[in-house]
Amino acid sequence: MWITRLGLRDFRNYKHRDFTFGEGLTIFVGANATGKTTIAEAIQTIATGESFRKPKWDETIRWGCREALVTMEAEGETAAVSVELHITADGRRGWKVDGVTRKQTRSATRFVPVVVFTPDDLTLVKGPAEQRRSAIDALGDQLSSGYATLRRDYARVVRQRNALLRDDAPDSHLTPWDEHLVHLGARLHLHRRRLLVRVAEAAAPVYAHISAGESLAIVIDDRCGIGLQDPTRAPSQEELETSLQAELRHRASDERARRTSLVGPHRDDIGFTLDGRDARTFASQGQQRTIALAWKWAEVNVVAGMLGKSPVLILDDVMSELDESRRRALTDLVRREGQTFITTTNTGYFEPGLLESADVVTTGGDA
Amino acid sequence: MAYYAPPIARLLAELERLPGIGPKSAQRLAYHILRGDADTAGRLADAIVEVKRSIHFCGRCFNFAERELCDICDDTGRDASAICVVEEPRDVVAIERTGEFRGYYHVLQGAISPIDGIGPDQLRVRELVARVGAGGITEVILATDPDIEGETTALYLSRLLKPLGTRVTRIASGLPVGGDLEYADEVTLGRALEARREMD
Repeated sequence: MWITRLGLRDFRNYKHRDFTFGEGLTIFVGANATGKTTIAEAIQTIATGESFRKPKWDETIRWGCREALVTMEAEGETAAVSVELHITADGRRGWKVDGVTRKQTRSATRFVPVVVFTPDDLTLVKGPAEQRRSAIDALGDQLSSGYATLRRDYARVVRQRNALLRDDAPDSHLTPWDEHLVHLGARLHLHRRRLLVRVAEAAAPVYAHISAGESLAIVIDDRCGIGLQDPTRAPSQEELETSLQAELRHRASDERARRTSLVGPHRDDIGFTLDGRDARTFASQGQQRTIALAWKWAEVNVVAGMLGKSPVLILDDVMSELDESRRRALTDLVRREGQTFITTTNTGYFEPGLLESADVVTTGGDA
Repeated sequence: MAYYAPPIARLLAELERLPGIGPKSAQRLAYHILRGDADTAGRLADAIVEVKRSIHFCGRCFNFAERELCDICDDTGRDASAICVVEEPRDVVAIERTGEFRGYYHVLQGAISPIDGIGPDQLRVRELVARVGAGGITEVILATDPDIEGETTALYLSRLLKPLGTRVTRIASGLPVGGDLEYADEVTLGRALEARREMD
């Protein structure tokens, strides 16, 4: 599916603006603070229910207004859909699909898969482990509602268990939470592994292409006691549960002392190697950015492969952050099949050929 | 600025405290009451006062009761060897509606949730252990909600009750995951009861 229309009412700095989009590439050009990123955010929000800016939702309502409204119309080969999102001053969101109210965000946001690439994503390699975990988890959430549910349930178990550890609760109170942590944690870890294999398989050829032959691999540094760095070497659910149990016993006194859950996939990390060497310590700035670019490219391919439809790609202000060769690589990604939105301050970053085929929208008109 | 006469404003404020009632619903209810006759309003007020005055928790199962024991605990015709453990009084109603269960109940009045400060001691767990420990119970069916907190409560109780020598079962899923018992339809809940399993 591709997005044909986007409407913004009192969303951030937009009072009232409607856009019509083509099936290919749309470039939003404007000076800083003219609302380019807001358009990128609105597209992601209406399509997926998430925003890369991670706002409190009431912050997205234009100053002095009671409600923000974002609308989208999307079209596929066989069907069309219209989605409405009302954001009210209490931070609540109400969804409508084809005019009918939907209670769950999930049921209103499964039509158009989206991959977003922002300058923040460029720190994937060296940023905190949390950034890498959420990169893989956000992808998993979008690919399967089972993954999303599992992740939410697991996060809840960790929160509950942490509350007990903070209060120095007796072991008998901890035991049932341990069982959940082991069972759900093993499942989450295995799902992540499987997804990482797909991302790694899709990212390696892209990286090799951009870097003229270097080999990129993705490894897992787990806190589940299993110690299998290569994601393709997957343990069974039983093996993983056994190792999680052992690791919990092993770290029990640490967990008591630090009053928080130290064992489980919420502490896993993902690493990258280039020709077998750890990218975090050995890779140059440029190589790290190439890895981030290869990861995003892989996301596009994984989503397309698993959902059978090419995702909408949103590039928010990343062109200015990349050098010539990486910009060219990103341009190749943009040329693939599928709808793409790019925000930029300067169209000079784009090849004339690409610009000719694009719809160029100037921002700052109505804000 | 006052839009409403003070007595109306007070009624609106009270109505808005109720779950699911926003300013508009409160206004609709208040105007309905105002338009009706005094008897109707009196009956509503009496019913509210009366339910708070006469209803307390059953001394045995902690369901709502008008007398010392609730109607179910008072019914000697039921199967005294089975106890079905639920979180809330409304869950008793949901299971009774299935007609699949003829034993007695135990209402925990919640589920274990450390982030909300609710542990076994804040629930009617000690009373449940006492009932089972008194003997004569051959099966305890754990029918807490199929969400994380409900499952944890079930796990905790099964650890506690099994050493007492009784059979401990958990209602099977078939219930929507993450759902509350009260929203389950009778057929789903009935089937889940039939397919209950032993807890390990």
